[in-house]
Amino acid sequence: MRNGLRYRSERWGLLLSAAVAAIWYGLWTAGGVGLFALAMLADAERLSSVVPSVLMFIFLYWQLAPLLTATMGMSIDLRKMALYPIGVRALFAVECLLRLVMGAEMLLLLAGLSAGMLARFPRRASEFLPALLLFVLANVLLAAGVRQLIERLLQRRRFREVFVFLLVMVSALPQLLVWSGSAEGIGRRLYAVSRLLPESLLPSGGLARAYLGAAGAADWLMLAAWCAAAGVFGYWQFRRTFRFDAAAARAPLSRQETERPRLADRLYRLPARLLPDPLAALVEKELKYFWRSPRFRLLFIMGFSFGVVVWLPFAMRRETSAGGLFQESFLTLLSLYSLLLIGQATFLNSFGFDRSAARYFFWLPLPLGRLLLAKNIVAGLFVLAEIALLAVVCRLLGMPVGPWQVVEAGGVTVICLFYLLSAGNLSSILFATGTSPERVSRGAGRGVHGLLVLLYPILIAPVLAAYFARYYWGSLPGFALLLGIAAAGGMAVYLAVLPLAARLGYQRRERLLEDLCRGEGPLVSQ
Amino acid sequence: MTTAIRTRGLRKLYGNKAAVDGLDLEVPGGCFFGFLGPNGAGKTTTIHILIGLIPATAGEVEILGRPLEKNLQAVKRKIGVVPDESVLFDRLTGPEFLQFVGRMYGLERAVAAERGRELLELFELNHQPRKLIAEYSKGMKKRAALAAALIHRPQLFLLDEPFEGVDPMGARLMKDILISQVRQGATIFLTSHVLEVVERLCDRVAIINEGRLVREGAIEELRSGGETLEDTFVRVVGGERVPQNLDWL
Repeated sequence: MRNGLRYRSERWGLLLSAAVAAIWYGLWTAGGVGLFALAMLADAERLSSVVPSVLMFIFLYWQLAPLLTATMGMSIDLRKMALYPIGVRALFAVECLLRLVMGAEMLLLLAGLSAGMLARFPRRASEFLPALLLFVLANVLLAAGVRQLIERLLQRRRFREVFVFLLVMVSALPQLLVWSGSAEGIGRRLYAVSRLLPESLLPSGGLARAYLGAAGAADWLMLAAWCAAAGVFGYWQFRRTFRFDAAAARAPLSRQETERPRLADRLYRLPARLLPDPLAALVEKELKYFWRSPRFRLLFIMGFSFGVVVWLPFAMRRETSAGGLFQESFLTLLSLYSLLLIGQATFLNSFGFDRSAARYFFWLPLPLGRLLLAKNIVAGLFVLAEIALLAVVCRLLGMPVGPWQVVEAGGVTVICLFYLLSAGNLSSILFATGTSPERVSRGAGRGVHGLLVLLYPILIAPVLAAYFARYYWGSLPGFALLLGIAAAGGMAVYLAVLPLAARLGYQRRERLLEDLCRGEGPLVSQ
Repeated sequence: MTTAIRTRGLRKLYGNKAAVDGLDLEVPGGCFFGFLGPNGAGKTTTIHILIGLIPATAGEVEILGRPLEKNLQAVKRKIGVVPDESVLFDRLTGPEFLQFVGRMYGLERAVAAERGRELLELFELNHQPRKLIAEYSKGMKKRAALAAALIHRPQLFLLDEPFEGVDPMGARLMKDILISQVRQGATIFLTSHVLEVVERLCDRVAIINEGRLVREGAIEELRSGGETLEDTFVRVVGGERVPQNLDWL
């Protein structure tokens, strides 16, 4: 915790972190106060229907939270402590305490509910307080086991990528269901399924009956059994994690050791055939580097999958003029969205994936401007590939995507790219952050890159002006003219900023390399 | 032969602390030069300045007879570097990495690929051509770094702890290659904490402490009076401490 605070205070992010924490825990505290009021005011019938559901939610949240944090790569690796003479049991106790802290939101809810019940039914305290302790204990032990199991699975090759992708797609499902009009029906079916859950056999059921003053011997036995089973499961998983060889799990199953070029190698060389060295060598190297980074691959795949799922409902609202606009320029909109995603890993923080190896560039006889240009070309190539894939996906979904839409999307995106690359080249030099190519679900690093994403509409304002002319005045020639002006302006801005960024990069090279050594993950390779 | 490295009043400040403090150094061409000092003496900082990685706060640097600042790109083409850490492009395979570096130094693709193949064979890294550098051991990374430093036949090598983590066979191989480079006229500027290696390889040695040059001369001069290089080193950096007896130890 101390390390985290020290790191944040260096980056002036402490206040922001404190504000976010205050809002987050403030909301859960409000939830706790609400449960207190419910316990104090609700009639018996309402209590008996609401309390079990609340406790079921707490149980599920406690078990799902480790899954989310593990996926995001937020973890303390207690295996490092194996170096010291500290027993596995003591470390397991530390892990359980971490699970308790990570479930602080649920403790706030339970505190509110328990305080209310205590104030209203003081005689039941001897019944529900021990049950509450057993409930918390079972949750903590089970969450520790689930967390360890997930951590190990995520170490397996490609598993994390697939898992995060599925998680992200599932998070976009609700709005798709609402748009498709099937949300109500699916909701009813989900409720029916949830009624089939053996709620009475879950620890939340036992605690609910203790709160309501109806707990019997079977409930106590069940709570104790949950604690024992969760303890055995948690400890077993924790021990297995200690013996787990992550490097072996990450290693490929087999590797063909041949020097014969593969199809992928030929593809990497393709764009470089049109360019002279050293630009060609740099482009080839960057293409390989990005495509071999799980984090980039996920962002690239999300660009033509998640983007479609997110924006499809807007485009389908045919009854509004906005719906018409979305539908007409759907591919352009998706292309710009994918530009935003790819930008996080590429041009907004160009040296992020190179991290410590970035210093290699500075002792090679290579002008920095040439390096930035190569990195920009690679970003552009990935964006164009993304547009092609988006066009295919849209056609498969039956969206009206023809040659004109593809040309429009390509042209507009390339024009926007000039402005964004200009901003990105400066941000890559001034706010470089080392990022781990392995961790697939962290943000771009420093807040400035996030801020650039927020400034996205301002950065592409000339293009937005062209669209304003097209839809507000209905003028296609006006649109083309303004787009032409935006293209010329973008090119001019790019050509002016590139040497400036290169000069700045050379002057600030020491600071740039220092910045890259901070950030996520280990300094050298993992 | 021209002087390979010349520094005058070289200074590098970090806040109020001088990592390098008025360093005057002259490394003759065609020499195997050992650059020694205790931890934190300023060796790596000096190398970083010599390769243009960080700017000096004050002072002058000449590499191969040319002022570094004014001829940075031209100078870089003539030097080969092995860094202290394994800072290689670890998502490339060995052959890809060497070919990339060769092309950066202006070699044709085919020439870079051919030389890369030969170097990998020489350094015994050719058995798994599809293995990413990220999967290399520390010793393999050091060998790959030296191979990359050799690919453009530089006139001057700047090697920061090149044998660290390398097995005895690998280290022997690297030493043989470096000696043959010096015989062919190249200059080697080497830092190492293994004084026996420095004693065996180097013609001249400089010792720095707290950023200042405290001793410089031919290896025979430093070993005179029956002292080993280690004795001289310990004496000049003031590290001769009487071991204290800790009651509990």
